[in-house]
Amino acid sequence: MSQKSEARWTATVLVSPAVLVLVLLNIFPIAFAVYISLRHWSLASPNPPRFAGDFNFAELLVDDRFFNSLWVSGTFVTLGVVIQLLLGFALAFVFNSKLRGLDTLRRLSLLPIMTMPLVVGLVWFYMLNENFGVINWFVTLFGSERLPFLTERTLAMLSIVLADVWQWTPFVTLVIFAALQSLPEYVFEAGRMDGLTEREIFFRITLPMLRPAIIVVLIIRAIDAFRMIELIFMMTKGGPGGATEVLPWYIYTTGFLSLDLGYAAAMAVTMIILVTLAAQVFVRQIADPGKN
Amino acid sequence: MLHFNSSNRLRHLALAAGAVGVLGAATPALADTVLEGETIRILGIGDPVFQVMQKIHGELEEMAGGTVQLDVRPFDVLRQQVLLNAQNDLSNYDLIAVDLPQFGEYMSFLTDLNPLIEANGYDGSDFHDVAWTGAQFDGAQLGVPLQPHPEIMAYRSDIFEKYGLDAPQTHADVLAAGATIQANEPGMSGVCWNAARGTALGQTFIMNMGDFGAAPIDMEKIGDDFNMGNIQPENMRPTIDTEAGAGTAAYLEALMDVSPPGILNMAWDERVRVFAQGGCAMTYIWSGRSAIYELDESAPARGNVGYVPHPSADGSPNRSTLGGWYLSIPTNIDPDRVDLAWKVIEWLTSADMIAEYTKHGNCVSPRKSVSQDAEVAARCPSIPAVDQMSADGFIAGWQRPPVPEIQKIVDALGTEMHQVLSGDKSSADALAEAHRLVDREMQKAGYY
Repeated sequence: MSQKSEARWTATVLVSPAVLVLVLLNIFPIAFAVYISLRHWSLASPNPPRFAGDFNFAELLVDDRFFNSLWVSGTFVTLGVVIQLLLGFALAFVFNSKLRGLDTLRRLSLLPIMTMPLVVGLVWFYMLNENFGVINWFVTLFGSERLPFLTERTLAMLSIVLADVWQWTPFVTLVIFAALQSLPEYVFEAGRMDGLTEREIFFRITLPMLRPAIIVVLIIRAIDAFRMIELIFMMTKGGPGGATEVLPWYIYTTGFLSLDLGYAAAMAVTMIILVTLAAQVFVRQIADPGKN
Repeated sequence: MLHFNSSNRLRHLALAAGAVGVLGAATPALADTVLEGETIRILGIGDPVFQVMQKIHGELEEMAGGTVQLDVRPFDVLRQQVLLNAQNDLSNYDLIAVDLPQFGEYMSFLTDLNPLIEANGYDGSDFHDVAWTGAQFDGAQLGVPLQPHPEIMAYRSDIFEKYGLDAPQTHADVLAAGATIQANEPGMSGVCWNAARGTALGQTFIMNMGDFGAAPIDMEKIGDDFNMGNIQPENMRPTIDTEAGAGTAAYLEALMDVSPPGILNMAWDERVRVFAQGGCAMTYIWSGRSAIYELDESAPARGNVGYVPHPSADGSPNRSTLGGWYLSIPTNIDPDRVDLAWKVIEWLTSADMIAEYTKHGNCVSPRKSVSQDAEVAARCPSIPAVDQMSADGFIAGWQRPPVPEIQKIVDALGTEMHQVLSGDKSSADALAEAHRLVDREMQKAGYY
C-alpha cells in the first residue's frame, strides 16, 4: 500500500465514527421527517399511514396560522437577537475595561446561561403574572394599573423577548469578550501612531476584526432563537390570539397534541430549509470575508 | 334546588357521622394479598389521584405486598404513550389511565372488563351511575372509575351572603353576581375560568356550549342528553357554527368583563389558586381540585365555598361535564398478567382506597358509600355536593364526545376563540373557521 493510500485509509477510519454519528443523529432523522411529511400519518387515527404526495405541503400554502407563526418567529428572532447583540456588545466592552470588581461581575453574569430554559420561562411567567407577579406588584406600588404583560399582543411578545434576552445576552457577551481579548494590541498602537481617533479605531479596526465572532454569535443565536419553544410553553402558549405563536410551537401542537405527524413534519421540513438557507448567507460571510 | 353550601352541609353531615362507617380510617384489608411479591406497571396522569399515589408510594407497596411501578406523565405525553404502547405486540403496562372522552379514541385497544367483573363478582352499583356507565361502549365495560369528577361552579358563599346574592344557576346569574361583587369588593373579580389559549379555552367552549344543551358534533339526542354509546359517522358533522355556538361565544365575551386580570393566560390550577386566595368570587372548577383550598388552612376560601352544577344558559337544563380518570387494561397485555391487573384495579378503586386518597389531596369520590362518609365529607365538602348533583342527574359526559377527533375540536376552538377574546377576530368569523377546520378533519378521517 502506497504512503498516500495508507494516509487516506487512516483518515477514513478516523473520520468514520463522526460520519456515522452524523448520519444516525442528523441525516437519518431529517430524511425520516421528509418521509413522514409525504404521508397522512396521524397517531390519533385508526387508519394506517398512507402516501399523501405533496398534500401536506400544499396545505401549508393555504394555512394562515402557518404564515402567522412564520411572521411571529421572524419578529421574535429579529428583536431578540438584535437586542442581545447590542447589549452583549456593550457589556463585553465594559468587561474588557480594566475597572476593579468586574471579574466577579463577569462570572456572575454567566449564571442565566446555566439555567434551564423551562425554568427561565416559569420564573418569568410568575414574575410577569398579572395576579401574583412581583413586577405587577411594583407597578401597583406606584399607583398604576396592573399591566397585561402576557395577555396583550405587543407586551406579550416583548415579555418573551425580555426573557430570552435575559438568558442569552451573557452568551453574546462571553463570545465578544473572548474575541476582544484575543485582538493584538500592536494593531491599536499602530492606529494611534497613525493619528486615528478612538471612534475611528473602533469602526476601522476593532469592529472589522470582531466580524467573524459577531457573525458566529449571530448564527448561533438566530438558529437557537428560531427553534425556541420553552418560553412559549411556559409563558403564553402562543397567545394572546396567535401573537406569540412561533413556528416551533405550532409544530409542537400539531405533532404532539393533535398528533398529526404528517402535517407537523411538513412544517418541520420547511423550517429546516428556511433556517439552512438563512444560515448559509451568514456562513458565506465567514468563509469568504474578502468579498466584503 | 341546586344549591350546596359547604358549611350547611357540614353541619348535617357531622350529625350523621356516627351513622356512616368510617371508611377512610381503615387500612385496606385485602391489600396485602394483591401483589404477593409481583410488580404491577401503571401508566398514570399527573392528576391528584396519581400524585397521591406517588406521595404515599412506600405505603402503597407495603399495603400491596409488591412493587408498584408508577409511570406518571403529563396529559399530552400520556396520550402519546398510550397510543404508541397500543402499537406494541406486548404492552409495557398492565394498567393505563384513561380520561372519559378518550374512550372513543382508545376503545379498539382496551379490554372489555365484563368477563372479569362477572368472574370476580365485582359490584359496580356503588359507583355513581354516570361514572360507571361512562366507560360503557357497545355493552363493553372499558374501565373502572378511579377519579372521575365533573366541572362545576364553586362560589364564595360568605361573599354571596354579604351582598344578598343567590347561588348562580344560570349564565345571567353568573354575570350579574360577578358584576355586583367586582364593583363592591376591592381586589376581588367576578369569575375565574380557563381562558388560556389552546386546550384550556377549547374545553371551556364545549363545556359552556353544553350549558345550551348542545354538543360540538351532531350526536343523537335522547331527552335533554345525547347518545354517547353509539356514535356513527353521520354524527360526526360539527355543530359549532350554530345558535348554541354563537350563544357560547357571546357568553365567554361577556365573562371577560367580570374576570380577573390576566384571564387570557389563566388555566387549570391557576384559576383555583386565585379563587382560593380571594381573587375571584366564583370559579369553574374540576371538583377534585377543590382540595387546593379545602385542605389549605391558610386559604381565605376554605370553608366558605358553595357548589352548584355548571350554570346553564337560560331555559336549558343544568349539566356539569364529567371528566377524569378510569383504570383500564390494554388488550395487548401479557395474558398471564390479566388477573393481576384486575386484582389491582379492584384494590385501587375500592372504597377504602378512595377514602384514603382524600386524606392526601384528592377530593374525589366516584363511590356513593365514600361520599356519604362524614369524615370524608368534612375533609372535602365538594364530594357530597357532587354526590347530590349526580343523584339529581346534573352530570353528563356528552359535552366532550368520546371520538378520536376530540382533541382537534378542542384545539380548533381554543385557537379561534382566543382571537375573539383578544379582540383580533369577530366571533362569527372564529366560529365559521373553527367549524370549517373540524369539518375538514372529519372529512380527512373519512366519516363523510
